[in-house]
Amino acid sequence: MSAPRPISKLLVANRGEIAVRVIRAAHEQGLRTVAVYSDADRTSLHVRMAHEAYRLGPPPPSASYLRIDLILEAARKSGADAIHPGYGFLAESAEFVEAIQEAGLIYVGPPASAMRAMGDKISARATVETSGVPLVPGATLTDVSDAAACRATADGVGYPLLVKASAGGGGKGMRLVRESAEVTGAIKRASGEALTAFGDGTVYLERFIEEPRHVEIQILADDHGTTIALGERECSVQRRHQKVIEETPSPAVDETLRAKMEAAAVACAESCGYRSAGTVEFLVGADRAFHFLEMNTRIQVEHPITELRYGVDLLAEQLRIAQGLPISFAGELPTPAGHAIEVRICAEDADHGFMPSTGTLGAVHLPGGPGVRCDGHVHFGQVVGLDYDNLLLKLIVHADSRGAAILRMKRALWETRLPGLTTNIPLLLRTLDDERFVSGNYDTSILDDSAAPEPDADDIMPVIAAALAMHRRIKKTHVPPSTASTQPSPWVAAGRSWWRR
Amino acid sequence: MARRGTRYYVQWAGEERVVEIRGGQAGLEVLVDGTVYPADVAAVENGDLLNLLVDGQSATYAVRFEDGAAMLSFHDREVRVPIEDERGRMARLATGGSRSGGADSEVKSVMPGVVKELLVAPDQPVQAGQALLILEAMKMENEIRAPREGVVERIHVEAGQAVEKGAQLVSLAPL
Repeated sequence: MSAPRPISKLLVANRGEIAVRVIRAAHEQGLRTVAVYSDADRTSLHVRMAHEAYRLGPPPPSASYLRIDLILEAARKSGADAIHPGYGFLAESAEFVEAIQEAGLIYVGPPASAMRAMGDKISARATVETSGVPLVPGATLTDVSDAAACRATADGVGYPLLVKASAGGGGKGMRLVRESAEVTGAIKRASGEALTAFGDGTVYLERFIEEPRHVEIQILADDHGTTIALGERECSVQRRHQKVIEETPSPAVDETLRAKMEAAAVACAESCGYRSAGTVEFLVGADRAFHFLEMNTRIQVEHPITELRYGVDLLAEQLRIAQGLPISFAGELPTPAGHAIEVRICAEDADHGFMPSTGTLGAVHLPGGPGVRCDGHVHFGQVVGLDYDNLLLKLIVHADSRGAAILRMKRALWETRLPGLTTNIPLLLRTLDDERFVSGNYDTSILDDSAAPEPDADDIMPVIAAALAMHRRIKKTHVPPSTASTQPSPWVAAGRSWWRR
Repeated sequence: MARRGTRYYVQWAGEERVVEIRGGQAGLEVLVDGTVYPADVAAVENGDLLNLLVDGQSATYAVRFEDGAAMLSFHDREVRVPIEDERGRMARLATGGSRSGGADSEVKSVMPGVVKELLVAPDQPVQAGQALLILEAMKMENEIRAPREGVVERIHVEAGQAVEKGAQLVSLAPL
C-alpha cells in the first residue's frame, strides 16, 4: 500500500539512546535521517549515526533540545519532511506538534488535541472519567502562595499523598507526604522545582496508593479506525519514582485483569482521538483494583520489552501510522510469547542516595549472546556530565520463561563493563536476586531498603586487587618511558597524581 | 632466604591486612598476612580494566585512587578499599595523622549544583540521616543528609551558592 503522506527524510529531535533507537528504525525503513545536537553532544553516537547533523546551541536544554525554532530551522535546512520527538524534551509539547504542522511537516506522534487532553493530569482525568476508567483521588494547585488554602485542598485529597509537577514527568518535583503538617513545605519545594524544570509551577496532589504496583498498557492507534492494546508492562521497580527494571508479562496480572486493563486503555485512547503509540499507566493496589494514573502520549523508555514479547517494532509502526498507513498487523494481533525484562543502566551511585556520577568512559564492553538486546548510546571516550538524564544503556532480554529471563539478564549484566563511571549495575544485580523480585511478589517500595552487602573478611580478592593495582601504578612510574604503556587512561593519571601528592 | 617485597597496608572488613608483593619479571608472589597466594594481574581493554587471577579465581575490575583509598569496580559491586604503601604510612605516622580520621565529619558535595536551602544552623545537634541542606542538581532537589550524628560545627555555604564536586558543605563535630 502506498503511503498517503510519505516520509523520505526524518529529523530526530532528541539525543541519547532514544535518538539512536529512532535512527535505527528509520534506517530499517530506508529513510534518510537528520540528527540535531547541542555543544555537549558534538561527538555523540546519534550525530555519527545519522546521515546529516545540525547544531542547535549550548548544552542547556532550554538553549538546544527545547528550542522549537532551532529544530524547525534544522528541518528546513536539511529538507526533512517529518520529525520524531523521542521521549522527554519536546515529546509531550502540543505547541511543538502545531509548529511542525504549520511548517507543513509530519509529526511522528499523536495529534496536538489528544496530547492536550491527556498530557496534563487534570484534563486527562476529566477526559477518561467519562469513559468509566477508575481514578485516584487528586487535585491541582495553580497558586501555591496561600499556605492555608493549599493545606485545605491537600486535606481534601487525603493522606498519604504525592505532590508532583503538573507539567512533565520523570519524577521531577515529586514528593510523598504522610501528614497534613508537612504538606505546605512539600508543595512549596515541588512548585519551585517544577518552575525550574518546566517553566510552570503548577503542582498536582494525588492520593498515594499503599503497596502499589505500577502497571501500564501499550496501545497503538491508526487513522483507519484501529486502536489496539499490546499487553502490560510491570514497572514497579523504581527509585525516586523513576523506573529501573520493567518486565512483561506482570507477575501480578492474570488474563482477566489484563483484558480489563486493556479495554480501559483502549477506551482511554479512543476518548481523546489518539493516534500513534501511547501508554496508559495504572496503579494496581494490593487488592488488584486498578486506577488510571496518566497517559504518556509518546514512545516509552521501556517499549522494547513489548517489542520482544509481541515480536513487533513499535517505532516502525509509529512511522507507518504517521504516513497514514494502517498498523501492519491490524488484521491479526500478534501472539505474545515468553518473558521480557529491561533494566536501565544509569550513571549514578546507588549506594549514596542515587547521586549522578560523572566521568569519561573507558573501553566499553557490551553483552552479546542469545536473547540480549542493547539499546544505548555509550562509546569509548564518552564524557558523561550533568547536562542531561543519566541513562546510559538499556539491556533487554527475552526468554521462554520468567526464571530463564532473570538468569539471562543477570549474565548480561555480568558481562557489561562501563569503566570510568559508577553505575547502578550492582543494585540491578542484587535486585534480580532479591527474593521479592524472584517470587514476583513486589511493589514500588522494593528498592527502599536495598543496601550493598557488608565487606566479608574471608573475601581476599578486593585486598589483593587493591594492593596489585597500587603496586602496578608505583612500578609503572619507575619504568623508563620507552617501555611504559603508550597512552595512560584518565584514571591512571588520576591515580598517579594522588600517589605523587 | 626470601627477599623482602613491597608492603601495602589495606583496610578490609574492619581489619588491617598487610599485603607483601615479591618478584618482578617472572611473575608475582603475593602474601596476605604471611599467607602466600599465587596471583597474576594483567591489563586488558586498553588498560582500563585489570584482570586478576588468584589461585585460579578470575576477577576483572576497574580501579581509581581517591582520598587514600582504591575504588574497585568489579562485575557486580563497587567497593572502597583504604590502602597505603610504606612511604605513605611512614609519612602519616610521622605527622601523627590518624587513618581516615574524621572522614565523615566533613560533608562534601558529590556533584556540582546549587545550594537551594539550608535546613540546619550552626551548633544544632543532628541525627544520622537528617537532612542538612537541599542541593539542586540535574534539575532535582537532593537532600544532603548527615552521615552520622553530631553537632553542626560550621556551614561552609549559603543558599543560592553554586558548588563544585567535592566542595565542603557542612562540618560536623562529635555530640
